[in-house]
Amino acid sequence: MINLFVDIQKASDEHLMAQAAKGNSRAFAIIYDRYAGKMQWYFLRMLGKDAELARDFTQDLFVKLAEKPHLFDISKKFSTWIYTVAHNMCKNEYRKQSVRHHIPGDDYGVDRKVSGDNDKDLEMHVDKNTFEKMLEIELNLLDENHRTAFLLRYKEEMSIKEIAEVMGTSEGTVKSRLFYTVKKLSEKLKAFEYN
Amino acid sequence: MTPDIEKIEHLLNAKTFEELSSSERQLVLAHLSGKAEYDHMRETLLRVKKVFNTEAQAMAVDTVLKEQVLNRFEQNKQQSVSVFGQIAVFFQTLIPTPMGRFSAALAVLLVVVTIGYFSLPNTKPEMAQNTPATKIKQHEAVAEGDSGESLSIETVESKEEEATLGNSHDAPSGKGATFAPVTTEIFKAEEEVASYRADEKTKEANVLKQMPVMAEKNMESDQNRMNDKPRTYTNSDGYEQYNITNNRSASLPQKESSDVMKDYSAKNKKTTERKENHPAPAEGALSGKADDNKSTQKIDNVNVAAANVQQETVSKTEATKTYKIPAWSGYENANDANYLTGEKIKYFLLQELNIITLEKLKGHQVKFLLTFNENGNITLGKVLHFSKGKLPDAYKAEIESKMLKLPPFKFSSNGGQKTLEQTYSITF
Repeated sequence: MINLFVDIQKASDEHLMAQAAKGNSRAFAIIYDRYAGKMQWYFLRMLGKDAELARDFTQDLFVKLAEKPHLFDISKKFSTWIYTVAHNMCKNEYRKQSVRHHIPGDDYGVDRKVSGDNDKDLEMHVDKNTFEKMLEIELNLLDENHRTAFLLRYKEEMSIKEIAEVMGTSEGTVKSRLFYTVKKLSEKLKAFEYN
Repeated sequence: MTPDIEKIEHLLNAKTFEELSSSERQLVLAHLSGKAEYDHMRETLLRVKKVFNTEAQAMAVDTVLKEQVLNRFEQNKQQSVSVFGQIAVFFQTLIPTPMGRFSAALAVLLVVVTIGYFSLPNTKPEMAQNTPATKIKQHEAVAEGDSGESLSIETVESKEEEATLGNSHDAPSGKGATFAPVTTEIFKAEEEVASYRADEKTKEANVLKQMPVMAEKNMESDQNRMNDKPRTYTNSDGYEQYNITNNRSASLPQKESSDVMKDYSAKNKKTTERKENHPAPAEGALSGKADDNKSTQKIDNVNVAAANVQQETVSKTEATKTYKIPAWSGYENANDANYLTGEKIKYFLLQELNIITLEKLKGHQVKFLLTFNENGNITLGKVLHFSKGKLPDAYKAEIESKMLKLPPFKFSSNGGQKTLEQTYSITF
């Protein structure tokens, strides 16, 4: 027997956006629930862990979406599209001001004398969350293009093609950026690996 | 050489360096320094993913922000969404699949047809009288006593028969009541059909004509019976004796023919009243005869109603007419919500055009081109022409400029290289 009534919660993003464009607030609310957290996390990572700024960016993004839901091209994949918008917002922000690379001090429990990228100068006290904290630091030190590619790949599990579409670049460029980022991070963080 | 990051990632996630095959090691070592670097990268990736997942789960939903955003959505929701549109959206959300919507629509249609079938007059027993083979009950016998009381006797469908004196014994006694013979007549099927297809006046006229004839006949038969010698028989004693069972007139007062006529007139009046209270349907339309005013009016009403239905059907057809999207687009299902309809275009333009332009466009039919290109986009071609003469270029330009703002009705493309131009037309 055909199930005629499909749960709206299981509807695709594209279908929900099509309904939102017609004024279906319930559909839009579901889209918000699905992506608000992800976008806020993305902005948090991309904007130097500035929580307030990340919240503002998330609000701006969804307000724009609420005002003009019909701008979404339903022939595209929604997740790719929304990250493209978010990426462009971050790029504009970078142009406006240089984003401070938030390098925490002693409160992270790490004594670190940074001298360029020289690992030999690094002294540390390893605590429970050191790896995560250092990951945050190193990500903030990355170029925004490398950071974007890395986050989209290993957090959102996007394909190379989708990442290229978000960033407006070629797949080859995305591949090389990813490889370089993983390699560099592993070098920086190998001291904090579990034994 | 660009490293095959996807392949290396797959290996980093799946295998330790020791588990790599020789070809896989060859691939890895082409880009990495050795086992140590491979192990570091593998460890980093696995832990990074773990950290990312933990952080994302820890992100609490900002309810205040959500409320603000949803309020903004409500404010900007297009006012043009009608109640029926919202209902449609609700059901489209409820039943997103085209097959589901089709099945639900079919089920609703079946319910409506079933309800309509049982509520139609044709299903009522009275309408069965219109069929040729139906017999008709007729007449009422009115018994009128000397005191002027009227007694109605229930009619019974029967063959034509003469009332016998025996029946008189069934009459109420003590009041000297007499009654006219109950006469029933069965119309033949063809006569019934013909009479019902005639107009009201003709039918009444026929009935009226028949009544005196029947009255005469009955009168004649009454007179004959009255004039007939009473039947006698010789009883066992040898005396003649009336057979009162066969001669009703023996103990019945003679009725004047005028009284008989009065009876039938009264009967006819009742028949007429009954017909007026329960008129036959507008069969005049079927016969084509329109001599009677009532029939004429009914014919007109039926014709007007039919015209209205037809007009409404046409307008609805135009409004909901969908324009075929090219097959290579991938959107072949007519039930797809993104189908471009004339109603959508017209409604959009009504919102966009100013009042003056709208006034000038009344009665015009506008034809315009829409182009479907390989990227799945619909673009405005040009406004072709107007049906009623030439409009000033300013109006044409305004329409074109407004239509450029037509909300995108996109569809996916399977990479076809064709460009299809299709003509649309709407009438203001």
